[in-house]
Amino acid sequence: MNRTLARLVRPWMWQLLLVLLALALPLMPFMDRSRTSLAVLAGIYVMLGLSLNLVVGYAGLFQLGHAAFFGLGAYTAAILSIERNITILATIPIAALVAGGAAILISKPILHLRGDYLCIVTIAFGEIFRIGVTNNAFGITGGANGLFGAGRPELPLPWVEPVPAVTLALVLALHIFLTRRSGYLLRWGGAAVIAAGYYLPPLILDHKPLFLVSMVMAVSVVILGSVLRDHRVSARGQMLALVAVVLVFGLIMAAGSDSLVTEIEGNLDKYFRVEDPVKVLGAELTPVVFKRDARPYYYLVLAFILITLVGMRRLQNSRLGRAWLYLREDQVAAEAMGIDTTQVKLAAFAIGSAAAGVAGVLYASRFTVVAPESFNFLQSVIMFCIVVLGGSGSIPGILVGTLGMVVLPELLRDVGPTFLYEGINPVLILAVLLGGYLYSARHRLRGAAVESGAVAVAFFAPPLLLGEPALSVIGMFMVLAAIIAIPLVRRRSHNALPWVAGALAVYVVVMLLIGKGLGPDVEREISAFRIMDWRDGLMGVAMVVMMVLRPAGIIPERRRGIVVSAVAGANTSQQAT
Amino acid sequence: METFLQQLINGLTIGGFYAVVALGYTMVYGVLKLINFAHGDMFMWGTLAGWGLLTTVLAGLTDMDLVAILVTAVLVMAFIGMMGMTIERVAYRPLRTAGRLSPIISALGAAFALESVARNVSHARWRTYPEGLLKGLPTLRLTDKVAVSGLQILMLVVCAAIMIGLYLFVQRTRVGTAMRAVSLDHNVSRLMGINVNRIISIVFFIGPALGGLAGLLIGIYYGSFNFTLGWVFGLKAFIAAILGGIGNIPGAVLGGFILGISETMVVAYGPDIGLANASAWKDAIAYVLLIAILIARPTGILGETVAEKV
Repeated sequence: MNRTLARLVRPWMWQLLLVLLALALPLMPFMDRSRTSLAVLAGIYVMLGLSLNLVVGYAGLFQLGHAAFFGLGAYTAAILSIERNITILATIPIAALVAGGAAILISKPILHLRGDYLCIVTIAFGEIFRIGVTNNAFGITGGANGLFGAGRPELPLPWVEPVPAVTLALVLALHIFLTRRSGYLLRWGGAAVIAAGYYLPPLILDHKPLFLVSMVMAVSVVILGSVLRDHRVSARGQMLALVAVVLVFGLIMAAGSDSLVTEIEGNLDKYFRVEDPVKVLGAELTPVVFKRDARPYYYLVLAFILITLVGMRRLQNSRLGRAWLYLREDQVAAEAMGIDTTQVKLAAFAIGSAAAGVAGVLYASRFTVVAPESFNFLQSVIMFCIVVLGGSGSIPGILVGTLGMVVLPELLRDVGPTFLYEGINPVLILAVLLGGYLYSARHRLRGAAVESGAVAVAFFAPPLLLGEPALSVIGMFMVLAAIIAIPLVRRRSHNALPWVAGALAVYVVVMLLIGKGLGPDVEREISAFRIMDWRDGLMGVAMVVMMVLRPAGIIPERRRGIVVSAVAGANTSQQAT
Repeated sequence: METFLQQLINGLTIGGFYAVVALGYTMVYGVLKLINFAHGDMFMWGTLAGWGLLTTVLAGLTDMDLVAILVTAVLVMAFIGMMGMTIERVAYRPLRTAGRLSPIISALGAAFALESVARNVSHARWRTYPEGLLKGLPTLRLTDKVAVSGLQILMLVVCAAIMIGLYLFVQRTRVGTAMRAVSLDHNVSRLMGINVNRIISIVFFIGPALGGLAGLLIGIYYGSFNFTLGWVFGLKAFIAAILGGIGNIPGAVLGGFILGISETMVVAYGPDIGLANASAWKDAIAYVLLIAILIARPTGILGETVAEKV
């Protein structure tokens, strides 16, 4: 049964499911305004993680100044948008060029440095950038307050010609390029089917706004085809999937044309501002400008993430991507294989930084304010952690890393200390903590269960005996300390239980004394505790604990070639006992 | 000329602090090949702990300020040394075989945790040391306009004593010899009967203890501090260690002095050479210097060019 299931569920299905989930996310009931906004921010960090992953994960270079290139992109976009009045999405190529070019200029002289030196030099560049923009270098960065009033994204109204035709032409060109190694049927037949499925429904039904649905159809066909090819699905299978998707979209348009059109026009008013037509290169375009609401930004960022992901996949399997892999595993061997290591490293730096610059444009257009503090060292560290904590080189790892480093700390903002001891919450938190501990000690479940029991008793004793639920907040720190300390004690003496029991008994007595002494002040003291003040500290402790528990990251990339990594391990000559 | 001399003396004093903190970085890097990002924050903790002691427990001793400072120094060094050993034990030792990326994250995490606790303990405010500490020391007047304050002399003497003492300790004692052996090769040292873990623990006691002492001294010297001191000063001290050639004790000292002197000189003479708000750019000097020197000499000024082991 399990086997059949595994055969039926292909990896691409998971990827597809993930993309569908991402598409549906803002429509979920729990996504209010601020959470959608947070999702946009997280999306920008996913882009940054992907771009840094190229440098750290693929090429194995240390880069702790990535925020500078993110900032370069954001500042370029903001300056061009404010000073030159260029629509902000049009600054993307310029921002990418500026960030990538700066990366080349900067890294050229330092690439020969060894790992740790490179790390410190990248920190130095990040700091120079921050100090430079804070001091209003060249008089265009606005100093410590930054720049205000960068433009919001503008797109042409999608269903007024020539936009549909241009989009179709681009999609078809992409399709024909991507299927250049497939048969005629998929290549030209597929193109014909897409074109027909794209133009016929809006024209037959005479509803221009349906072109938007057509565009979604065309793009999803190309993405689906790319994923299927990536997983070596046959040309016939791809063609079938293509026709099926086109048909499904056609049926949707035919069945619900009226309601779809009202839906589209309603959303247009809700999320966008339609402006007067302008002439661009002889064509008349109607700009629609994003309003403040986060939802359209979410899809904009998601689109960029998908484009980046597809680009990454294709890079990874290219000649350059394989060169990065060799470089990371063994530089000397890579050189011996004829790889020009300097050029290859430079390429990783340049491409990764250019992608970060693009993320910077998205950031500038979302927040319309660009200030030095958004690009400080902490940001570089967060990006670095997103890549390494999740598992360097692994793309699902980046998603997990972003959840942990960006989303979770922001969600903590809503959590007051009273939340921690309301109703059943202490029990839930304890269950999660001890469950994690039991899982990590699953090879000696019985001993771990006894220890967990002792910890649980110590956790509940003071609040229950004194009738002060607020005390369980301190108990949570005790539990954390205990599950970190027990493995350390165990390494010293085989039987940790007497130590654990002793320490816990001391804890209970101290807590009872504190509780008795403070009396009703306990609750006041604890509700004055603001978890946001401790956010960096909690993040720091989490970084240490995660690394100690899973040095290779939460979802490590599957390494190719065990022999290579064994040799690399022998290199370090630093084995612990 | 007289301003130059005065700035040189100021630069030497600041450089002395950079040098002492850089020693901690360089020692740890020597034995573990690890950038101990938490070192700067331990240095700041030295300032914080010294402030805590001098304003509360030892506040009554301020009449006899030298005694109070001596007691504080001993306590701070012991405390920060233990802190260093604990961090090594918890955050670095489990990761010794885990490649290069994971210890960096772990070190950054330890630094964040230390900084966050310090931020909350000091309520994120600027804190001032008791007034009048060591003000009774005589000022040495070299000329009419050039004066070396007693505090500066004391700082320079202490820093010099630390550097010379540490150098002798590493070169002349058994433990120091063991340290040098461990920094060359862990496995071979173990074969020679050296308890590598113990030596690393000792390094993680001495380095942070000296850093903590420097923290206390800088607190007394500047009179006020806040929790961000550790990151900025620590990073610059690390840069000083790299400038001189990391893993190399005279190199760290040289780097510290170069950095301290160039910072004061640029701030003093910046306006004359067209850099109007030079003091705003002060923090960038260290980074520019670092990049310039690493381009010219990839292993630092006194660093040896070692072919990477294959």
